[in-house]
Amino acid sequence: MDWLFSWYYRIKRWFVKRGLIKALEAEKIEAEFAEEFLKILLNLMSLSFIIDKEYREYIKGFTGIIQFRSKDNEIRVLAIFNNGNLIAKELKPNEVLVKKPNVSVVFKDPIALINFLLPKGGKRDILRSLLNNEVILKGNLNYIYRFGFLANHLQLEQNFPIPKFLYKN
Amino acid sequence: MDVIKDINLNSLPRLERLREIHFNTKPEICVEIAKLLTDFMKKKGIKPEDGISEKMASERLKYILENKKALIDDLSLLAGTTTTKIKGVPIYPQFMGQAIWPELETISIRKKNPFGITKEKINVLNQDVFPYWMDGTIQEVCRKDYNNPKSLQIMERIVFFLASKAHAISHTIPDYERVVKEGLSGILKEMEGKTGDFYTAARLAIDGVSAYAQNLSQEAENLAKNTADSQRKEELLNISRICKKVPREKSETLQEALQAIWICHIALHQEHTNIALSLGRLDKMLSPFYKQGKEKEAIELLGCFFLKLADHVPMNAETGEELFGGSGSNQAITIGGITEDGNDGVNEMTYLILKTIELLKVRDPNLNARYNPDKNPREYLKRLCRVNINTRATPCFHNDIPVIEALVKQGYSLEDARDYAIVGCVEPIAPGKTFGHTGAILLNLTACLEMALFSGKHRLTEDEQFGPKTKEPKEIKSFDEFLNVFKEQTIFLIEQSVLINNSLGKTHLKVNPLPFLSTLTDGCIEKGMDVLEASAKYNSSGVAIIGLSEVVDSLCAIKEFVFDKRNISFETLIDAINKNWDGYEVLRQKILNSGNKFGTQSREAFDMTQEIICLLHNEYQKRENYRGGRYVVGYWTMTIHAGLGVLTSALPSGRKNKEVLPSGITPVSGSALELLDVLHFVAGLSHDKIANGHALNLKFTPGENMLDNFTATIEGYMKKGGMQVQCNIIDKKTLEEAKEHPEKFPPLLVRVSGYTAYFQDLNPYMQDEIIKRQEYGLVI
Repeated sequence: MDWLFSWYYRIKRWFVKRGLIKALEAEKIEAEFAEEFLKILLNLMSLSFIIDKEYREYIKGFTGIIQFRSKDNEIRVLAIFNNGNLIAKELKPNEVLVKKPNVSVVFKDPIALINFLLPKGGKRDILRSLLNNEVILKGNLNYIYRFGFLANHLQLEQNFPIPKFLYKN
Repeated sequence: MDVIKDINLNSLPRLERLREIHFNTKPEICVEIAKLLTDFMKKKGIKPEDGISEKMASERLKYILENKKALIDDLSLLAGTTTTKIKGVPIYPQFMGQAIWPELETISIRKKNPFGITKEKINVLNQDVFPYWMDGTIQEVCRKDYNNPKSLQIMERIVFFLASKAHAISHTIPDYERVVKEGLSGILKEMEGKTGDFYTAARLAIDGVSAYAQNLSQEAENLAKNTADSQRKEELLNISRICKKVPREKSETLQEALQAIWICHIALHQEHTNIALSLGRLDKMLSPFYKQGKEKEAIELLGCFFLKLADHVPMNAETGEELFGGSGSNQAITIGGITEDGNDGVNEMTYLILKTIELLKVRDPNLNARYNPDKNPREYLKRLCRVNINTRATPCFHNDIPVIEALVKQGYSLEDARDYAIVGCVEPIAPGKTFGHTGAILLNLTACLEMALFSGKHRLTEDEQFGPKTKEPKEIKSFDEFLNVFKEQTIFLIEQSVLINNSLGKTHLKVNPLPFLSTLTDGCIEKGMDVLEASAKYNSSGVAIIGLSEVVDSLCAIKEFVFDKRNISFETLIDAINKNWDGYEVLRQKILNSGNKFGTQSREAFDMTQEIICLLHNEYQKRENYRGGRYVVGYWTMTIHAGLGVLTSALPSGRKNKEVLPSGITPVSGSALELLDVLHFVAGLSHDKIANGHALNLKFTPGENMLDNFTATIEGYMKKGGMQVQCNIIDKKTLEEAKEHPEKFPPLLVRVSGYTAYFQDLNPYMQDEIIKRQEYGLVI
């Protein structure tokens, strides 16, 4: 079956590579990159749900909204789960949400966001991010735990190559 | 009882083998409770967030117990298991089970304390169980019902305080004495003629427990039929007979009594997470069943029981291991002390329990020895000390006199206070009569100091204003003024911790009533109410304070150097700690070498400690818990002092960034070099204001002839009024080697701050904390 999905893996790798090369070139993660990266990850996740039946099963019946936002509110991206689908939505400045998110992940800076989304070795530990004060969670923690599983699964499957400098802090 | 001296593990091959299995088995995640619980809720169409009635909670428990696998292992003399694994990690989705959701696919390969899990179990949790409880955990229902209160938001920043009800409420002791004396039929008899939901629920719960016992009986019979080994066949038939009888009927033999307790303990596990669900005064309870001359048989049965208690491990997410890692379920058993009528309570069973613990050297159960200097024989104390030397870490010593006084001041009758037993780490309650949740709140006292130094902010949470905006240090003119600021911030956190504990308590009643625990707690049947309401004879909530000696040393340093001697300005001190003492090493050394430290002869440090103890006691006692009971304060820290230390920046005591905080009521390592000073200091504190117990951790260099001096030291400390002490008898070098090469050592039992753990299982911070603990010599 691998041949059938090879194009899909290629697209995924392309997405990741694109983001990482940008980061490596910058030597410093800028806010725009974090936003871009977040969207890439969510789109990648979304794509995986479409293509991968088993992965899609993981969100069967799951309805919920997770907001990722920077402390200064400059970056705001929503992950909208709706019974087997995921839509990533970027919010405009001052855009008012009709439906409140179930949980908001407020990240201190772009590196904190990357650490949270793609932790070293795929070892996702939300408590660690909280303890380091890298992120603040506002709302139902179980939505984040669930998202954590989904992101972790994706990361493990694809063996994401994370540049070392992301961990210097 | 001289004969027990000659008993060793070689002469008890069953225990030797069971112990081997215990140590060689890696914990595995078990989804049995999670699955049965969720299946029941789905079948009944109950949304967890809507809550559940007492009766429905009982039906749920009965369903779980009826459908739980009846398992009997190949060797043990006791039937039943808490999980389906040899060493299981049960998952409770109504509490904090979801915390391992993100790491389900990596938990089996994590570095510290990995848990085995199969793909099938991952799918059950990920797709079947966890999604159902997304909005129905205690913490999330509380958040919704109380509109995400500020107190919950503060708690979720972890560094200020933790209210553990979202995770567990089981820091208590059920009335197992009644179970063995009367059987559950005694409880049913008390309920005869009583009507109402509570009583229906209680009867259903007992029916569920009986059904599980009958399933075990049947399983034992089936196994006996298929066993060729005649001895095992006989044992299995005996197990079958026993499970047919107990816990429903009263026990008549030691094996029946232990089996009855064990089945009830398993049943309580199905109702609730086990975090420090403790067993009470086991020697008192089991003594009537001991038959002269049957020491070996008794030890074998006790050994089987203790290894059963260790058949499960609490679930911890990876970073949770840093805060609480290495702990078992911390089920305390208590021995010795005096009886309700004030006489010597040490009996033959006391020595048999000690011997069993000495042979097994397992972390669970956590052995707590009561000692009454006026009533118990000195030989008993000497035996306790010998066991401590031989096991390196257990038992922990409690002095009856101050403990009983403290409980009487909390409203206990003298008889009930004399009958106290220890919960979890070091907390005394009246077994079966108190519903105490002794580990309800863990307050980080260094966070109060931080907030006093930074006008209500904490350096970890940076510019967020949590506490009241008090004066900045540069505006403060006297130490008294600063002390008032410290008190204001402390009172703020006390208030917040109480608010969230009370909200979580009410939520707990809504989401997870405890019908079976209620039947095993005095007062509930009489009042016809759940134990989570104001129904137990004694209702209290326990608080544990973290970082006392660090805060005392810091306050003393501020007083001495900023206000008394005026060596430096407050701003300079703040600058020094903000820079982690870089550029201020001379000042730091001056502070470190000051005589005003917790655990020394310093009057100032002693008075400061007393003042803080009074403040915490008075402020917590002023506030009622959700059951109309009092908050009682204690000083024990499990491993959380290591975890919180990593989150805490440099302090005025001379402490540097991220250093572990001192454990329990122990001086900061290296600051109190004289053992006698430490013992005098702690023994002199107002123990009536420490009714939730304290953990004084001491480390002694082992030596061949240390027994007499060790016994004299403990005796002297107790006669001076010392409330509790626990000792590691192990040197720094051994610990360092065990940290470096864990594989070269057998599991090393160590006292952490209340409970015992295997050194190799602890996180590196905690290992370092134990290595660095001040080591005292006792050999002349």
